[in-house]
Amino acid sequence: MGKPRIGIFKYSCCAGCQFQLIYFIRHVAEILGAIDLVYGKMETESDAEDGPFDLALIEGAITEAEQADQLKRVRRNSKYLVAFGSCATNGGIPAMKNIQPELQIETRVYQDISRIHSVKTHPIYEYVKVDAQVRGCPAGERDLYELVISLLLDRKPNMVEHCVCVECKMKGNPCLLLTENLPCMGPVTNAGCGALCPSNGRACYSCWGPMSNANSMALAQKFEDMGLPPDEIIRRFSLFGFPTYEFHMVAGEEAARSSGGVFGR
Amino acid sequence: MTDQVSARVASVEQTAEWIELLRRDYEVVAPVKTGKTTSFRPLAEGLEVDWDYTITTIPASKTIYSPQETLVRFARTEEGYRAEEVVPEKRKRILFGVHPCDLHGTLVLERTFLGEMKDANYASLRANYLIVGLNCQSIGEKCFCASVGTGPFYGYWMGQGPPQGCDVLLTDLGGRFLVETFGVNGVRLLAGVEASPPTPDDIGEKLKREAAAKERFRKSLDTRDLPSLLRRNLNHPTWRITGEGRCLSCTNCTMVCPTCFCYDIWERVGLDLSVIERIRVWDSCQDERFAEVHGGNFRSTREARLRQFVCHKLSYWVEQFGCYGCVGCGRCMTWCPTGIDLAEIAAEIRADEERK
Repeated sequence: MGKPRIGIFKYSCCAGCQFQLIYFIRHVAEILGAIDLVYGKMETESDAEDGPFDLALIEGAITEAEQADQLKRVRRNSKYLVAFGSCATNGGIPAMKNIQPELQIETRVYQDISRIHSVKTHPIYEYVKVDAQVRGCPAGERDLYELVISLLLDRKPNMVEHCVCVECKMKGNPCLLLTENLPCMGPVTNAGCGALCPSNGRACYSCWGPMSNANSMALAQKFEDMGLPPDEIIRRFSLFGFPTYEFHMVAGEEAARSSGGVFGR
Repeated sequence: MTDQVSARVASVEQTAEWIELLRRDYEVVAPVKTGKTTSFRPLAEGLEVDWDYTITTIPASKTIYSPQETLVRFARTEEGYRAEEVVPEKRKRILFGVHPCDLHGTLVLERTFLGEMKDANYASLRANYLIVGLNCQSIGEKCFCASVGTGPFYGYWMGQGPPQGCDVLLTDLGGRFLVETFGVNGVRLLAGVEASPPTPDDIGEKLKREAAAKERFRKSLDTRDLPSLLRRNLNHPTWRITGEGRCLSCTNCTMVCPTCFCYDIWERVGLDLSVIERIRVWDSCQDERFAEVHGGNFRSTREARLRQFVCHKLSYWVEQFGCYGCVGCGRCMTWCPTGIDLAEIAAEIRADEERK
């Protein structure tokens, strides 16, 4: 096999994950020799956006119909397609807007919305098959490393898929939920960050999005028992990963309420 | 060797001097206050032994069996990859001030690692350690070691005795310590220590304090017929109600359990592919992917995973290893964010069965 051909695509996001990648490539000289970066608006002058690619890295969430069409095209031109960072993986920060009706959000930001064609925010798995997820905001280095190695060895990447509590316990951190009464999202949040915030005494705010099949309702109940008001609870479950079913089960009710939806309240 | 038992009494000052003496030759890992909790840490300047601690977050046994260790290293050579076994470093260490629940936790863990199948890595890590126990007089809210026979004082356990897995045992007698040594290693640790032989009063004081400690338990676990009680109730509604309603699958219970031994194997590959390390990392039956095998997941629900944890500790373990997998330290319920309590679950099931 020749050098794997990589394409990088950006949808709605802050581009921080691409910076993370550039940072990563700059600091690990071996990677540059091992891959062939075919397309990436911020990294290359190439216009070879139709590949073909061995690996397409997708950054950002889908917030326009046109992006979805493009994404489908990328999928067809790529052997592997990987969600790169929280926005692509779980909707990330852009999905925070889903909690209110689209028109309300648009008029809050833009004076003239006649040229705005936005739709609700979607993680990319809602449109195309995703072969792997590099979670994180920005995308985490451990999983990125695992992705590159797996690509070179052509094996399935072994991403971190347990929750942040595991990393806290492995580091011997005291539990912030129980010793400090802080509303820590660690029990429902996918790890890989090395429990960065809790190790520094700050509650996890779930920037990596939910762990698969996390029991968010039980944690929301715990927050309520700790005396957290409902809007604070909803904010914690809608900052990242709002469209995922794990967090939507807590924060989605509020979205429905504010749009006068199914709950009719 | 364990039949060589001797005892003496040391003052607080003599004990402090003894620890300083030990630190010259060993790394002394002892309970130390770390913020609001207590943890086993290597003693260094300015760190003092927390003599009155109740329970550490991470158990003593997991100081030995660490979260991550390298098992094998593959290195690329001109002839191909060569495998090198990774032997854990040899280091003289003392695990100091270990409460009886944790002393038993280590023994129970060793029924897995040093039982029929010997785990070479654990064995060589364990060989680094001598253990100094500390009889426990600070009974916590969640402690129930007395119910499973592992504390609060170290003694005979399931026909074993005098105590194994402990080279020196300390008892705080108030201003002085009773120091009991077991076997040659214990005697060696005490070499050069000035201390007087115990008087009948000292022994009486120990017995009095043991009785007083037993009075302070606020929690208990009824172990009558417990393994078969749970086996008869694998479909009890509490598994679903507690599992779905409260369990977060966060795995904290298993991470802090002194007897949990499960691990996963990962491969860490260098970017130039010249070195591959096979590492083992703590794993947990509470993780959704734990029981994922070809064709499906045989414990895909939280209900099934919670039942596995509780029933393994209090039922299946007895058949498997001849003892409970629970030493009554109370860590799993202390560090469960939603306070799931295996003793309460067992009591609920017992009460329901008795009502029928």
